Amino acid sequence: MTERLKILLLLAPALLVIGGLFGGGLLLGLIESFGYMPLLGQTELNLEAYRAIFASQSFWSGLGLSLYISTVSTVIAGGLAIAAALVLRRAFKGRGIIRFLFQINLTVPHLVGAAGILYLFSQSGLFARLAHALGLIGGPSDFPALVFDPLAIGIILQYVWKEVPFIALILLANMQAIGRDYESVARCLGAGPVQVFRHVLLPLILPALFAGSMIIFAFTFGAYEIPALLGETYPAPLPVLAYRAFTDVDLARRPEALAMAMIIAGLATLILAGYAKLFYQRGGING
Amino acid sequence: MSVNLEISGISYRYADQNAPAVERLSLSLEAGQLTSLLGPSGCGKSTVLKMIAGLLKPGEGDIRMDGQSVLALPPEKRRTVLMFQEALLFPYMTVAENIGFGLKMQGMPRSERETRVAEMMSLVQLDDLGARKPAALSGGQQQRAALARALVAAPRLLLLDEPFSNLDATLRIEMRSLLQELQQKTEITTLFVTHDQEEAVTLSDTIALMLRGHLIQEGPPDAFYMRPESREVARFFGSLNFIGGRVEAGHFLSALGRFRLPEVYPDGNGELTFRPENVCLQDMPGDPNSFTARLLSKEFMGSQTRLHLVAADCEFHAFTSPETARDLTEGAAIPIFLPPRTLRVLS
Amino acid sequence: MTARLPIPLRLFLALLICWLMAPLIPLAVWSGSRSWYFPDILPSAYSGRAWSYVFSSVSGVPEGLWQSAFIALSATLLSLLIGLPAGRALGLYKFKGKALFELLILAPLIVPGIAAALGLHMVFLKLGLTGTMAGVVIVHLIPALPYMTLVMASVFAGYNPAAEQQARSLGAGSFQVFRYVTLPAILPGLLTGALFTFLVSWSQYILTLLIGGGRIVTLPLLLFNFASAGRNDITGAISMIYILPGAVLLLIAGRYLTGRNSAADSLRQI
Repeated sequence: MTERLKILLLLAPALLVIGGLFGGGLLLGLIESFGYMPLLGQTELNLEAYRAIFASQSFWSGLGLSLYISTVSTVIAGGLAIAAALVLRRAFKGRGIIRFLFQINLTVPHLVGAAGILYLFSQSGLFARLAHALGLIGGPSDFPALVFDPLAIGIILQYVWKEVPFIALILLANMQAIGRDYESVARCLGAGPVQVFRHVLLPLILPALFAGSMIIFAFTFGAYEIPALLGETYPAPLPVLAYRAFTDVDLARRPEALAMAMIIAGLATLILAGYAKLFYQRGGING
Repeated sequence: MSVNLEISGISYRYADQNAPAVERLSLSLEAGQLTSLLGPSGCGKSTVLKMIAGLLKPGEGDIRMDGQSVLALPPEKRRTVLMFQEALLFPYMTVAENIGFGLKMQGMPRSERETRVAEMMSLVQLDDLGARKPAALSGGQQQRAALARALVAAPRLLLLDEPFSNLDATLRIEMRSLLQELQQKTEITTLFVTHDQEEAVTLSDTIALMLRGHLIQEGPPDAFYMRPESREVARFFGSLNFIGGRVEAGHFLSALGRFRLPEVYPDGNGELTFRPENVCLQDMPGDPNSFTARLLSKEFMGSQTRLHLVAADCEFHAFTSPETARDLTEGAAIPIFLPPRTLRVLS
Repeated sequence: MTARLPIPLRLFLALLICWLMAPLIPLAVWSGSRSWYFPDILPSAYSGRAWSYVFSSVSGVPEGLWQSAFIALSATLLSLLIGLPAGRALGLYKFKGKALFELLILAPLIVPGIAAALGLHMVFLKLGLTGTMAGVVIVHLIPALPYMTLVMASVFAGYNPAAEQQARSLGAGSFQVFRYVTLPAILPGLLTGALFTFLVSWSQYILTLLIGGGRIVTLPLLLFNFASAGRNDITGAISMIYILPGAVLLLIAGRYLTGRNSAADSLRQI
């Protein structure tokens, strides 16, 4: 057996399953988004669904909301993660236990976090009660709307809560791999601590930061359950709109659901391309 | 420009180790000199460099440059540049940007910076490579760029931590002479850390030998061959022969005989050491420093042959030319002469 | 030298850790409360009501628990069977098109599952897979298999296959080589990978909802329903059960997590 054949045999099952389920699913979804619905006797392909969603106000506000949630969550989580990684890489007493606590919520499912955020930040939640106890508010309605709110604060809080440890641990691993010698060299060459961060450490960890941020951006852009639980009914982000259209009693709305799903997938594919560029085509590490 | 450096009684202990990496070490460097800090790996020499550079804070002791303590200064204010074993060029910058990094941190305007960088690049023979990324450079070129980056900002002190040990032999020799040339031209006080005694001997004005966190001996390179101060030093520099005995009235008494000594040692027990290359296979009748030994074995080592000899139950080694060694058979009796000026007694 | 952190940094860390723990606190308190009305900071009455409800069959939680576990175990096992050989190929060999294949494996971890699942729905409907455990297990492979494959690839990247040749030359057959040489060497990585893959499936919501079509009701679906119905005490109790496997995993594999890029890498699936 030649090595090529052996490799092919080892890979074939995974190739078939992933290609079939994931690739096949996307392909079928694309066809369906063009109006192909044999169950309804509809076999001609057209762009009706895309025309319909592009003409709808709720699609554009949903897209805007999705982009807004993903961007804000990613930026805040990224910033906090950098700060957390910078502190956690230092040697200090009790670092082991702090690091352990820090990674606990990595294994807590998103939905649990969402429910917790709900009970913390809703107008009758724990923080509202604390505010009342401190005499800051008179009743629940005086507490600012932080969940089911137009600024999607509850959703963003949940994503930031879940993703800070995720990015921070990636950065921490990256910083450990880089070591401290580059920074030592820069210090000796006359760079102060802030300059070292700005000119040396940040450019060095930038690829890892981008990689982690891209993953989070794509995830938050395509997630359904968090906005479904913590978001306003209108406007709703794209995945929620897609799910609603898919389960609409009017079967004719299904191509619209698929069209929105394809737009989500399209953006994620762009991100994937960026991710691939970062890791496969860099000649050396150019930040 | 050059400063003298005075280290007095510094110690350092890493958190995860019981024994201190450096213990009450004192050392002084004269302005403009190149000193090697020599020692086996793990002896604490890199820790010393990092303390001088300000990257580690000594637990005790003081470090002074031109008489002024620098302990309170952060690394970026000390103007002591450290060069590591790896070139550690910032991978996302061009070679020219790397070399100009220190000047940029000092806030030097771009045009002036570019002139200085260009001058430095031609000095280290990297003229046309400024626009490249470090990854496109060979190992030797990377180290030259790192050297240029270290020197361009005119540091008060150049600290080198085995900077050439990753290079192959020819490149290493080339880099050594480049370093020597630049060091003499700029007269920067330089401390060069190495585990390679040959490198230390060929490169430096002064050698400081460090073992297990302590400074053992300091002096000009030849002193380590001629006048080792302890068995450890003698061993580190390749002296293989140690004969037990005692000093009495200017002579060394041992099982091998009563040897004349080149200088006066106080009476008492001691150990006679002599280098294998100084052993003469020569008959000197009547000289107290001559005796007869039996050849146990010989080992061809290329340019010379090592003889394993025994006399009066004392084993020792001698080097001779392969030509001479060819005629010697194992078990043969060989006349030995130990010239008095090559003998040293260790107490 | 280990020192204490400066006060501002300690404050930052303390706040961060509190923030990471905070959402779990009301959930735990709710699960044991009987009445907890605004503006009480603590419940005015405690009871095990939510817990006994959760463990009764009317709640659907025991059924959901068992379905979640069955689906996650099946998806993990299938991922292991398919992902182990693929991980070996990716970890041990260099070959033409490897980068492309890696990209294909990576894609389902970045492109949201909702897109592929919506597309698959029609075919699953035709095949009678919607609303069945089998259908849900299969669709869970979309995030689970790539994850397992990547973990196994990194395990095999640190594995020296020369030991297998050595065993071969000493007379071991190919099964014996796997049993006595390969398996012991990769076992720690394999178990960690399997635990994480289990969690990936355990945490799926939208894939189960779409393909299970409301007939397969796993824990997250129950959690979502009770949370949106405002049953805070039951939501709290289910949450406590739901985070249990993750907590166990963290205790077992916690030390593999820090500094291990690949393991942390796909935890966002959870």
